[in-house]
Amino acid sequence: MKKSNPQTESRRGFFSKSALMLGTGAIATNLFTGKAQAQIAPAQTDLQIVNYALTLENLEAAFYVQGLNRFTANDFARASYSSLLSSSFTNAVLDNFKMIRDHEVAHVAALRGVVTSLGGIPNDPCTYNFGYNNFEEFLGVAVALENTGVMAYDGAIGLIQSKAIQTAGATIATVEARHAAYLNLISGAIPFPANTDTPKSMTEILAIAGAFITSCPVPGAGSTGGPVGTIAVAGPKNLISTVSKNIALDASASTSFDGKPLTYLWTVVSGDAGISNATSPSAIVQFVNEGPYTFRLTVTDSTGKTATDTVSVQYYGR
Amino acid sequence: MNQLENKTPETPLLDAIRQPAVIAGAGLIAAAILNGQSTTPPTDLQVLNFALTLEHLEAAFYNQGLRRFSSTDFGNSTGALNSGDYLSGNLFAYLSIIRDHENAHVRILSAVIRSGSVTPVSPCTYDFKFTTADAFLATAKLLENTGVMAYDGAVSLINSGVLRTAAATIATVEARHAAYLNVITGGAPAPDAFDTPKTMAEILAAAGAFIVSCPAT
Repeated sequence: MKKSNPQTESRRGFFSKSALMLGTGAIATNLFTGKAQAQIAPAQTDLQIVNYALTLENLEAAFYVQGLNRFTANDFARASYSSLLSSSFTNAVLDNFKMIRDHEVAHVAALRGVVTSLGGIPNDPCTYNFGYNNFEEFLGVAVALENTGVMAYDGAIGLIQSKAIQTAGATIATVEARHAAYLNLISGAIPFPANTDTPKSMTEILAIAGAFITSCPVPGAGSTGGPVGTIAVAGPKNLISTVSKNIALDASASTSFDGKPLTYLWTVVSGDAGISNATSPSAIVQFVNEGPYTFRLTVTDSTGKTATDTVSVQYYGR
Repeated sequence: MNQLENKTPETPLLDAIRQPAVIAGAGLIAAAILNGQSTTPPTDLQVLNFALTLEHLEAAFYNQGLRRFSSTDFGNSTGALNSGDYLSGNLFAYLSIIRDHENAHVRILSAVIRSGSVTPVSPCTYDFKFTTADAFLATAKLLENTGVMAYDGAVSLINSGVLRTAAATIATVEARHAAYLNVITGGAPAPDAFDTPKTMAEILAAAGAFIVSCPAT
């Protein structure tokens, strides 16, 4: 007998709504190990692509390790799928989750090895907040993560140059697809919703994954830094005071997480000044009266994420 | 039943790979695909014709099986009886979706190959030797898992990045089918952390076990 499972749909809604881009910059920075963000070229190297895949595998591994630590065999036995599956199939779910966890851990180890063999520094795990409050939400996030993983690998395989890495990527992609199919199945969804899966770009995937990232280690430093990525830097930082009636503001040190152009907006926070070309990275200020001035820079990246910074200047002219 | 017991199913298809007797059947299709160029690397469209060979086989398998066995036959299969009412009730519908996917893969690959001014391989005549719904499900599982190994092995032979991603988006669907059929037949959906890539020659040798005859090229 076919039963609908409205919870599955609401879990999906939960996921997509929570796919804010807060953490996107954090992983993007982590991903392009050792590269200044402003120097990111649109064409990715195999090293960058493998570190990107490693970023996703780190996330998935942490997700299952945390979830299997948190939820008990009882939680697994009493989950919603127990009304869909026979008792033997229900009993197998916990073991299958452990296998999936072990697969993700094995993927992390393998990809770290590939990054190292390419002369790179493997991305370390970030700290994550997967946002689930109960087992059913955990299951919903698992469904979303695995299906996202499939789209990520399908999209990346066409970009990889090394044939050996192409094959390695394919043999992981199909395992992620198996996970996705199984999780769909026990969630009451069709295991294979389309005749071809949908490839997604790195930018699209990072925007989704970023929703779960709290912070990432600074690449190669072994320490945990705050979320960085798309950053506004309002300048000139070294100009404490001026007698010039006009000065040029400077947003050129700002960076976008994906290397794509930013849009800029300068506004006056305090002081009586005009700004011309307020959407230029080098807008011009016209001071009116002597006194302290503060200007705010807001940058917006290709995904719509914004970052702000301020710069303050004392004007001594008249 | 413990779903984890069949961790590494040893497939008759893989056994068949090791048997020289079936190479003859493989030679028929290999000749059609490679057109005598077996010593040089295959072109992208030759690789896609290889994939099309398997998709023809899979499509024929499901087209025949779902005509032969009814929803009731599948509902009474061991796999259905072990899986519970929900999965049992969905079995015929899900197999029909898989059938539609394989037929879509045939259409997609044929169109891509034709767009490159190459002739798509034609379907062969097959004998899948199934007599019961359970036997059909067992062969379905083998075919899908073999399909995954075929695509995983073939992806790196494709030079075009666009076609490589296109092949990957089919490979992952075959993997979804394989996972489902593993589960329905009492196994683990993903028995290993990495799937195993196989060469075109290995796959064609295995597929040859089901080939009766192929049209002359």
